[in-house]
This record gives sequence, structure tokens and C-alpha cells, in this order.
Amino acid sequence: MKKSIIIILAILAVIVLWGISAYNGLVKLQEGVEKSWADVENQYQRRLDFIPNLVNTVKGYAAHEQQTFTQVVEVRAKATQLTLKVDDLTDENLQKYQQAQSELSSALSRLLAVSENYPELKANENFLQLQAQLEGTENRIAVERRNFNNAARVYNEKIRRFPTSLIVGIFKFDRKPYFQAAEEARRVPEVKF
Amino acid sequence: MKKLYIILIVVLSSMCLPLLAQQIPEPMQPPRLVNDFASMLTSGEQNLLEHKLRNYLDTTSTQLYIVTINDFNGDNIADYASKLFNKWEIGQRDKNNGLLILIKPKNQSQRGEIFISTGYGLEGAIPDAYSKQIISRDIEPAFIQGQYYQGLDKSTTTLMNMAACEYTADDENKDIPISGVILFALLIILLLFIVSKNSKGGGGGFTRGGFPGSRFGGFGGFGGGRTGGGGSRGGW
Repeated sequence: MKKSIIIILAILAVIVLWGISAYNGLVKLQEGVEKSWADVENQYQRRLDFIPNLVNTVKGYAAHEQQTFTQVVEVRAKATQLTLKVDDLTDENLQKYQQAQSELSSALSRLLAVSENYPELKANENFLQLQAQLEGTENRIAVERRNFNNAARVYNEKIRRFPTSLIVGIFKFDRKPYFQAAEEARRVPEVKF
Repeated sequence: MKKLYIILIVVLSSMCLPLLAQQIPEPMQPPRLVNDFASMLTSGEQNLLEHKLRNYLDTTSTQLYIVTINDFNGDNIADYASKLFNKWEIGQRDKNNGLLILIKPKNQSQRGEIFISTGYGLEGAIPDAYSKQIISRDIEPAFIQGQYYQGLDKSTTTLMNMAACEYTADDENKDIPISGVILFALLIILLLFIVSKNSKGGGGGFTRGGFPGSRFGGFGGFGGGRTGGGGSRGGW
């Protein structure tokens, strides 16, 4: 009789220990997702930050393109307002976020397309630098989005897999959404010199 | 029945093809910093550059890779560069001080492409606007004339000067792989010893597997560096 109690206790102890380590593993993966989300946001923020500079530079040479400027400023304001906290990451929210950012991408593409018509602007050293920075930022966004998707995929696979999924039922571990591949939306048109 | 097998094999292998096409090549063995897959340089030029880059690596711990490749498998050069960079883990793990010059030579139908990719740790020393300048001042004019070595020699010198202040080599970095290798060897010997003691003749299996530490023998560091997509592109 005593022996069986000890055995049951031992089994329970093993289960609890396993539960703790599985829980900790999930927390670590979740933190990985959160970190990559912060990296994604940083890069989008970086893009937002230097748009005024770009617009001002283009304005100096192409003052007539008022409509394009207004559009960029409006879309930027919209994208700035729409921040997404990591706890609110759902498919729907991420889609909205992505939508706002890709509208900004298209507005920037139009701005760069317009600047094609101004040879003096295209030769401007400051403009060339800003352009290189914009392209670099787009590349960084692409990389961080890929990293985020990878982290989310690892995490999602883990929470769905048995027996970890038992832990997920007890504690709250939500599935994380993915960025949809929208290559054309983020790609800045290549400007030939 | 045989036909069924053949169909199955064809279908399965065609499903695998797009996956294979996406693959980034493995670095050349033994490890080297100039990986001229597209044969744009003579072996003498490769050696000169390799020597220069290796010297720089030894003094600063900054890994500067030159990779030429004929095909990006449909990727654009920026994505391909960051994927290759992170797969090869260019730069030291704790410093992320890697640099990559990726080149696709021009052919009949397409223009040549250049990308300079900077590791996380060098984004401050070499901002995108600067790497763009290096491409347009050092690389493109030489490449247009077919002087690939001159363009690479000049641009690597500029990159080295810019990155030089950022990181210096420390002894710790050199010690890690060596002590790691020794530790690993000791562990294997110990294992072999235990196994051969427990069951006579059963230890043979251990001698077969490769020696993971040897991959890093050529360099002073483990690699492990990452890029966040920084850098810029050009073409000729």
C-alpha cells in the first residue's frame, strides 16, 4: 500500500517537473516572437522617421508635385498612428498593420517615380543618400519580417504539438499570426541612374 | 507496377525541385573568404585577395567575404545576400562584425549586380549611404572596364578602413575554437574509453563520424554573425 503511494507521488512529481520545463520552453519561444516583433517595429519606425527628410529634399527640386507630397504625409500619419502591441497580435490586426505599411510603401514608390522627372534632384548627393537609406530600410524590413515569421512558426508548431498542447490548454498561449508575403507591396522600384 | 513507381518518382522529384532551387550554396572547403563560384578572378587574384582579407581578419576579427555567383534562383540580390550571410554566419557571434560583397557577373541578357551586406554590428561604421558610395566609386567604374580584381581590391580597402575603428581582435576569440576542439577531442577519447571498457570491440562506431571542430580550422573565429539586411546594391 505504501509502495503504491510512493510510485504515484513519483509519477506526479515527474509530470509536474515536465510541466514546468515545457512551460518555460514555451515562455522562451514566446519571448523570441516578441523580440522579433520589436525588431520588425523598429525597422518600420526607422522608415517613418526619415520620410520627412526625404519629402523635404524632393520638395526642394519638385515643388509642383504637391499632390504626391500630401499623399505621402497623410499615409505616413496613418501608419504612425497604427501601432500594434505584441499582446494584440492577431491575424486581423496584423493584416491591418501590414495594409497601412504597404500603403506607405506605394506612396513612397510614387514619390520616387516622380523624382525621376527631375535630373537635378537625381544628381543631388543628399537625395542619393536618402534613397540608399530607404532601400536599405526596405531590405531590413524584409529580413526582420522573415525572422518574425520564422520565430512565430517555431512557436506555433510547438503549441500545437502533443503533449505541449496540454500546457497550452491550462495557461494562455495564443497562436501568432504571420506576415503575408506581399513582395510587390514592399519593393521599392529600382531607380536607374 | 513499375510504371507506377516511375510516375511516383517523377512526381516526387518535381515537387522537390523548387525546394532545391532555393538553396544557398555551402561555403567552399577548406573555408576561405574569397568564394569565387562564378570564376571572375584568376587563381592568383583570388590568392591576393584571400591573403589581404585573412590578414584583416587576424588583426581586427572582422570577417569580410567576397562571393561571386551566377544565379540567385529567382531571389532578388538583397534577399539572397542576407540569406547567404545568415546561413554562413559571417562575422563573430558576439560582435556581428561581418561584411559580404556579393556579385553576380553580367551575361548576355542581364546586367551584373553587386551587393554590399553589413552585419548588425557594422551598421554604424558603414551606413547604407556609404556602402552605396563604395559601390558607385570603387566598384562600378572598374567593373565596367572588366577590371574585377582592381574594383574588389579598392573597395575592400575602403571597407576595411571604415570598419577598422569598430572592432579589434581579442585573444579570447582565437582561444575558443582551439580549446573547444581540444575539449571535444578529450570527450570523444573518454567516451571511446568507456565504451571499449564496457563492451570490447563495440567502440568502433565512434571513430567514423566527422570532426565538427575542423570546419573552423582555417579561421580565427567561429563565425555566428548575423545581418539585419543592411547594405546597398549597384550594378554594371
